[in-house]
Amino acid sequence: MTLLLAVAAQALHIALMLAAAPTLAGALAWSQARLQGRAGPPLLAPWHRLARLIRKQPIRPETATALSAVAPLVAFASVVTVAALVPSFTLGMAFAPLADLLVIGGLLALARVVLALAGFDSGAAIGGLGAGRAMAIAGLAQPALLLVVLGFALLAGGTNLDAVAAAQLDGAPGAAASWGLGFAGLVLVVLADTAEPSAGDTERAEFGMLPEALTLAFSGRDLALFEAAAALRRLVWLCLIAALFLPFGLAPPEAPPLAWLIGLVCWAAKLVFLGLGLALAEALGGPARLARLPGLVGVAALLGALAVAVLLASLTPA
Amino acid sequence: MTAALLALLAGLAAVLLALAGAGVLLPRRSGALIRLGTAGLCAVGAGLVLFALLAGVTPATLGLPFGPPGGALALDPLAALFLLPLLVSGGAAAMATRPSPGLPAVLAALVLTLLAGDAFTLAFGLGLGAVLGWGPKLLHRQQAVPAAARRGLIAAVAAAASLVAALALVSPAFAALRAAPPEGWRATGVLALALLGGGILMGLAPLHRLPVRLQRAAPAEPAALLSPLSAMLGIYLLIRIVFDCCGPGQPLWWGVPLLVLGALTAVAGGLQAAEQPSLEPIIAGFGVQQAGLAAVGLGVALMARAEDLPALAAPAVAATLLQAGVMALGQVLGLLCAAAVHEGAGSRRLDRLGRLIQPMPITSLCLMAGCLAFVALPPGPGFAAFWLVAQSVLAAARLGGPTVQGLLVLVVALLGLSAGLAATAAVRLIGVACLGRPRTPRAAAALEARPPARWAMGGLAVVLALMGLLPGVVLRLADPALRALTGSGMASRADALAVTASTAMPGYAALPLAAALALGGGAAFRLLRRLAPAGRRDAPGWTGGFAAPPPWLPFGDPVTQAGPAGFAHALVGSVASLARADAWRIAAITRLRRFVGHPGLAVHAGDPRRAVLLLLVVIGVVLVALAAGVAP
Repeated sequence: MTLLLAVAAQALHIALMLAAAPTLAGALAWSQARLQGRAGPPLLAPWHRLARLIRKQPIRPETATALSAVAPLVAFASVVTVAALVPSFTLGMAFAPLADLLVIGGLLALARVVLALAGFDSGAAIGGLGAGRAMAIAGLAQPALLLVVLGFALLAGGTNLDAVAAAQLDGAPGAAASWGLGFAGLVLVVLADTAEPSAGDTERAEFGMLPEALTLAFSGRDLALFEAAAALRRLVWLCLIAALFLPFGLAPPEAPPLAWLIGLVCWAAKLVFLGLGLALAEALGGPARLARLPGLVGVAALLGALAVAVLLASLTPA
Repeated sequence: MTAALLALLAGLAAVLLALAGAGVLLPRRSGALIRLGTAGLCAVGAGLVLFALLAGVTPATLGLPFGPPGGALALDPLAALFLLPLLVSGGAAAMATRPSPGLPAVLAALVLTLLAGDAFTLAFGLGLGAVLGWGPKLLHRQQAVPAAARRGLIAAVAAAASLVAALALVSPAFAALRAAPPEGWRATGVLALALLGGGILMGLAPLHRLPVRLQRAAPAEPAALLSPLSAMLGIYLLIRIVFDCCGPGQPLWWGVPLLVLGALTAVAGGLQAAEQPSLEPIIAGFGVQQAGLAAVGLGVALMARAEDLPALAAPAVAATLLQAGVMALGQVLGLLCAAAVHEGAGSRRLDRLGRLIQPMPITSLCLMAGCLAFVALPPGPGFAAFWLVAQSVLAAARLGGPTVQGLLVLVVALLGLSAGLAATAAVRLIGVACLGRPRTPRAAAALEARPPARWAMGGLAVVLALMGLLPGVVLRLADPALRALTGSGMASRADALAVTASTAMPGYAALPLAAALALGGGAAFRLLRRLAPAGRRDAPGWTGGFAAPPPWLPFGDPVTQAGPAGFAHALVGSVASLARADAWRIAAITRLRRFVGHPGLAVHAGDPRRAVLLLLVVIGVVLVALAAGVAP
């Protein structure tokens, strides 16, 4: 019975994540446009775009190799796997034992690496530039991410995401002291990781910073897979922040499906809150500039280190 | 039974030496003999060692009939475990490369060093390897080779000398040293000398440039090809002397030098891998990075044992062992692929390669497998090892006082940086060499490697993939060694499905994760096949707005493609400028001048170093404050 519930929760979770990702992307684009005083695209525009892309026959540059055919699938598969691991409305899903924080970071890095290699594949200059940008941002974000993981490992005694979220739900000792620092650090990592020029501002962005730099040579279903993966990646980050720092409402493991309902409502509320915050940060911060990113993630690493230091001080018996 | 195996392995080393002798005496006829003989002997030896590891190895010693009194060979689970990657990659190297008597000779010396039971045999093995591997190359025609040979010889002799000196401080035989571990200043001396000797072999910071320079100067020599194995031997000797022989009575700070130097080495190695212009030095940089991670694991293990926490020491030593195996196998695979690329595409420089995946598909796939093995990407072998190292470091953050905790915070940040650099370096190498457009006509007309080389490279790639998918099985093999070293094994925490760092929490499940990835990709593939139109249409790609290439450049102008120089500069450039002493000096002087000129406006706005510098300063201040506040 418990196993059945866990599998059902897992299936529902995957379906919800897949459904929410393009919707969230549409909502973000709409709210960014509203914040800039424009009318904004319809909420479901990403869905229409995905459907349109899937119906088209892909065109491949003559210089592309077999990797171009495999890369979209691998990138999408790794992001979907992460999306299955990060809890949304309940803990104790069937895949919970796999949901290690380091594994989640590793799978996101895998998607990044595959995307960067796909950028190189067509042989156009912009793809290589975009690959360098993507790897630089990912590499710079690693220390901050690992420091945040260290903080949670100290709190929960391990890096399993379910255990960490459960410890946070129970109010682990010392958590409050470093909550804000860790939260701010992870938010900065997310901002750097999903950095894109604001909608409608592409002409002011640097050449290699264009969001489509890496996927310029892709079209049709391949591009649809990359875009779905990008939308899912952003949702995964928000869900990760929600599970780690705002775990309230998450149904505990083996809770009856009625508790899932509360979890679902809280999840939606958290996504709206975090999504609005993200849109506001991107609107206030202006278009992302590559030269500013090392500073941004440097501050993130700093906040992570401070969070760990405060945590260690509060955990040390006086 | 172990004694018989030990005698067989000693005989194997002797036959390898005889093969090398035959190669020198009959240079024209012995090619096939050397290739098949070396590969066959290595395969038989690896099979025997694997069987012995599965059946159980009991420590055994064998007195040497020659040399100084007390000279002995010894075999125990730890040595047997290290023999396995050594023989596997040695056999693959013999299959893949052009037959040369240097290869079996160096392999024999490496086996002998690994089987050494006392300081003299150890020095004999290391010296033999250096003399046989580099000695004949001192007279090589190409000018860079004698210089590299001299450097290799000096390094090996220095490593041997410091390791022997470390042992001579107490007692030359390992068994006697284990019975009476050193104390006080002697113990400190043993640690320092062992760190120096092992560090020379591994390329531990500040000697992290040694392996890369060696590969840059003489990439094709057998001794350079097998230098990853001597780096692995460096890790083995550090474990043997510092962890095994010096006993559990050493203080907590013993782990600190390894921890800090290892983390710095990991960053330095990743930086070199992301910056070097040609294949072999990049692979060597990856190796240095992996060696650094292994040293971090060993440092945590030493600290955990000093605190009497065998349950924490076991995964840390397991991390070191796994990392050492990944380093050796992945590096030999990478160097074999680099040699094949040099032969088939005429260059080892990244800016003269490109799109190798079309003319050399198997070599390219193996090169990709080798590079990605070093990167912490699940479900690869590098991730399994990195996961264990990271878990050990995270768990160790509760050890020791505020100073040690502060160091661990710094080590965690450096580990993240090194993982990011390694991923960047792998993307740069694969993207520039194997994908895109060819940069020279020679690269466009490259030839795939010969079949034996393909088999050898493919075999190593498969072994690495299995290590990634089944890290628990590898750790099961290592269990007797872990039990002997730490008193606690990994058998209860590692199986075919998952590896856990503590029994209280689920760990890293490589095989189920790979299954989930395959399931996700497969489901997307099926769905798209149903919804999307079949097939793809090829069309000329957008060249980024550059003019059409002239007719003598049929593959497009190479300069209109992103190259290896300056790749991911926002990351690599900022770390590199931190790592260079003269850059620090110049920055300090400029800053001082600016400070004098405009008091209060001393910081330059667009400097990426500023963030990292600020990070280090604030971490330092916080830690000092913490230490002052918490310490009684």
